[in-house]
Parts: sequence; C-alpha cells; structure tokens
Amino acid sequence: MKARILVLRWLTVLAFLLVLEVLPRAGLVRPSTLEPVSVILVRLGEILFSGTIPSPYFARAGTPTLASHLSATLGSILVSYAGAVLIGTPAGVLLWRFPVLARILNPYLVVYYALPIFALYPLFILLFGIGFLPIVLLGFLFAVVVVIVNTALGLRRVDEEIYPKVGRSLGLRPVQMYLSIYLPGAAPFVFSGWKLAFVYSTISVIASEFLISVRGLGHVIDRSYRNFETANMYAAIILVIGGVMLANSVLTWIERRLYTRVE
Amino acid sequence: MPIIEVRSLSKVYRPNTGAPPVEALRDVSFSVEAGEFVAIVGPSGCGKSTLLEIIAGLQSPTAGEVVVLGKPVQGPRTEVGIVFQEDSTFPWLSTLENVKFGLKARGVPPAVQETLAKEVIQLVGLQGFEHHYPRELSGGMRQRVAIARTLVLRPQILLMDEPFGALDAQTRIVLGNELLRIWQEIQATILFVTHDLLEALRLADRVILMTRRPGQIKRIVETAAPRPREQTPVASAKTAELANMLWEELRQEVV
Ligand SMILES: Nc1ncnc2c1ncn2[C@@H]1O[C@H](COP(=O)(O)OP(=O)(O)OP(=O)(O)O)[C@@H](O)[C@H]1O
Ligand SMILES: [Mg+2]
Repeated sequence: MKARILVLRWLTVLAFLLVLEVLPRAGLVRPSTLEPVSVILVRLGEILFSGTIPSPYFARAGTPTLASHLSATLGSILVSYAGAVLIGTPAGVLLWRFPVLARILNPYLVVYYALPIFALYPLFILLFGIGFLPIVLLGFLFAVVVVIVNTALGLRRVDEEIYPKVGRSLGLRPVQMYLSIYLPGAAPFVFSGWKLAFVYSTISVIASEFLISVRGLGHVIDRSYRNFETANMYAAIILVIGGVMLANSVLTWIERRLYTRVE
Repeated sequence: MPIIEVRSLSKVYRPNTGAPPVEALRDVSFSVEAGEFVAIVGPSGCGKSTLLEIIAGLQSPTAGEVVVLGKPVQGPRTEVGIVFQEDSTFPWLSTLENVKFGLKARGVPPAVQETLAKEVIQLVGLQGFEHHYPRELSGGMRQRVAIARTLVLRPQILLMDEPFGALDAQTRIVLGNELLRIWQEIQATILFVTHDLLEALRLADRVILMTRRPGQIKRIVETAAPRPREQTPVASAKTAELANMLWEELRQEVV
C-alpha cells in the first residue's frame, strides 16, 4: 500500500515534468516563459560544473561566477538568521520574565506579520544604499519576531505545566531551574521558532535581492528574467528551492527528535 | 513531639484573572507523629492538594502555619518529598534520568546516583525500563517513576497526592503493599491523599476526613490495624464497618 502510494507520487512528479518538457517543445508556451525541463536541467548541470553562469550580462557586470552569487546569498541569510536567533531568543526570555513587557508589546507582535515590511524597501535603500546591509537588516527584521514570540510562548507553556513545581520541590536553585527545567521544557517551541526564522530570513533575502542587490541568487533570477535568459532563471530558481528544501528537512529532522522526546 | 504540625491553616486563592476568590481551606489543624502513616480523604475540590503543597512549602497559607521537624515551613525542604497528583515525570528524560534528577541537583557523585537510582527502580518494579522515555510508559508506570524520583532522596516525610490515581484496582493493591513495605524499611512518615476509603483504611494508621470546600477537618479515625500489615482485596469486618461509617459522613459532604 505504502509502496504503491510512493510509486504513484513519483509518477505524478514524472508526469508533471513531462508536461513541462512537452509544452515548450510543442510550441504551446513561448521559450521566454518556459524552456523544456531537459534544457533547464542541462543548464543547471553546466552552471554547477563550470561554476559560471553562461550569460553576457553577468560577464559584463563582472560577476559571472556562481560562487560570487552563492556566497552573497548564503552570507546574507546566515548573518540575518544568526542575528534573529541570537537577539530574538534572549528577547523572548525577557518577554517571558517580565510580563509587563509582554503586555505592552503584545499588540505589535500580533499584527507584526500582517505588516508588509517589504513595502519599506525604498526607505532601506535611502538609508543604507544597495547591498549587503539593507538585505541583512530586512532579513533580520522579518525573522526575529517569530523567534521572540516562540521563545516566550515555549517558556510560558512550561510555566503552565507542573515541572517548575517539581523542580522547586526537589530543591533546585534558580540556575538549575533554568537549565534543567525551562531549557529542555521550552526547547521544542524555541526550536520551531528558529526553524521558521530560517525560512523567513531566506524568503526575505531572496526577495530583497530582486530589488536591492547586484549579487545573489535572487539577483540572478531577476536579471535572467529581464534578459530573457529563461534557462538561467529556472536553473537559479531550482537552486534556491533545492537548497531551502535541504536545509528545511535537516531542521525538521532535528525538530521532530526534540518533539518526540517531549510528547 | 509531632513531626508535622498544622496550625489553624487557611488558604484563599485570589486569581489575578478577576475571578472571585476561592476559599480552599479553613482553619485546619492536626499533627502527625514521626513514623505515622496518615491518609486524607475528602470530596473533590476540598483542598487536599492545596494542603499538601502548603506542607511541602510550595504554596504559602493565607493564615496559620505549618511546623515540620520543629521549624516553621517557609519553602521546600530536603526532609520533605512530595509526589504530585498529576503526571509529573519529565518527558525529556528517561526513567533512569528522571529518577536521578533530584540526586544530580543535590550534587551527589554520578556513581552513587547510578547505584541509588537503580535500587529504587528495582523497588518500584521498573527494572528493564531504565532507558525508556515517559511517552513509552503507561500512566501507572509513569506514576511509579515519579514515586521513585521522590523516594530515591530518602525524605523523612513523604507527601503523596493520590499517587495511585492512574492505576487499576489490582496494581493499586500491589503497589500499596509495596508502599507499606518501603515505609517500614525507610521508616518514613507518610501523608497520603486518596479518594478510595478502603485504601485509606487499609494503608493508614489514621484517616483524616475533610469536609467539602472550604476544607475543614470533619473527623479523624484510628484504623488500629496491626503491623506489619498486608492489603487484601476484601476488607476485614472492622475495616468494612469503618468504611461504611466514613462513607456516611462523606456522603453528606458530596451531595
Ligand atoms: N492555583 C489556583 N488558583 C485558584 N484556585 C485554585 C488553585 N488551585 C486550586 N484552586 C481551588 O482550590 C480548591 C481546592 O483545590 P485542590 O486542588 O486543593 O482540591 P483537591 O481536594 O485536591 O481536589 P481533587 O480531589 O479533585 O484533587 C478548588 O476549588 C480549586 O478550584
Ligand atoms: Mg487534588
């Protein structure tokens, strides 16, 4: 049963790819919209093996190598993500420790993700110019709040459980309470926040690269699109999606391990 | 001198949610002698858990005081162990790690932790499950992990809040007998909350009957059972008689 479902699942993927192959070849879709899948995959292989993007535009711009774009994107994601985790987690602890803070900030936190932060991108260009800094800041802003909220939520959940009472009855000192009760008790929630933050900072970095960057995979997608280099565009898109899926499955695996211990 | 003295204890909960205050205990006084096994029975919500947590130093009373081993209770004490009513095992720790938890917090050397923990795990019949996590154990097994975690610290005073609540009738009797054995072995003083009248009468030297909320002491009966004793599914005539009497009194509180 399970095997059959797996086979069917792969068959649908295959059928989908086949449609994507046939549509442009049959002339039903313009090549500026979609190139045959085989062409895109060959292009992706070419880019990965040679390490350069075959495009006159990027050659002229002085950024023909994949490494220059990959390092820009990864660097922005890592810095904004690390910032979100390193600042968001202690901020979440403060929010939990001082409920007054939580009560003051709660309305803002609740509507935060309803606000289109990207609408502020012109302001960021005015303030920080084009490049690394505004991208990292946007990524950080987009990711930090989910870390804060999840950390505070996880710690509050531990308070609702009996565990702190058990800790006190066993004579734990405050430091021991934090390390042996709150840390493991809140870990799954905190980690879920970290995981979402990774997704958010990635989304934000790629999207900002469309707008305010001269390097990065987002920039490659954007430029290839404007220059009608469809195969390059799809190759870059696959690279982004593949990378995110890989990172996400690693994070999900860790998350699942954390949760099964607590469930 | 009694080992536990409860002096005109009152407790009013004032929820900060704006809900009306709840008077949980009113003027409760009694004392327990060293080595005694005392059971507390009373209708649900009458303040039994509250009483135990105040004695354990986990909550402060609104009025009155508790004196344990000659000193007023101001917070949790090493001489007092408590087993909670709800499942209190740490889900992120294995059975062995759960049992070692308090020892570790007290800075007991790892080798000693291991020996003591294994001993107590044996005592509660969980050998073979040392490396299982709570989610892999049944409710009754988890409760035994919690009991072991408290027992391993060898408290002089053991407060138990419906420790067998999650168990079936047979396991209750088996574990009750184990508890009697452990109690005699470690010479502890036990205060034991239960809603099972027969269990209270079979296990305890004295049974404290509480009124409905606000909890007051309605009556204290001596079971005068011989030692060492053994529980059996069928109560003796004397026990049955006491149970009927307690039931009459309890019924007035429940309706
Ligand atoms: N933290 C709390 N805040 C407010 N009210 C509380 C709190 N804890 C208990 N109460 C109230 O105090 C009363 C006594 O509760 P308690 O848990 O001590 O009863 P109990 O005798 O242990 O009941 P049960 O047999 O059902 O376990 C109840 O009416 C309960 O609603
Ligand atoms: Mg209770």
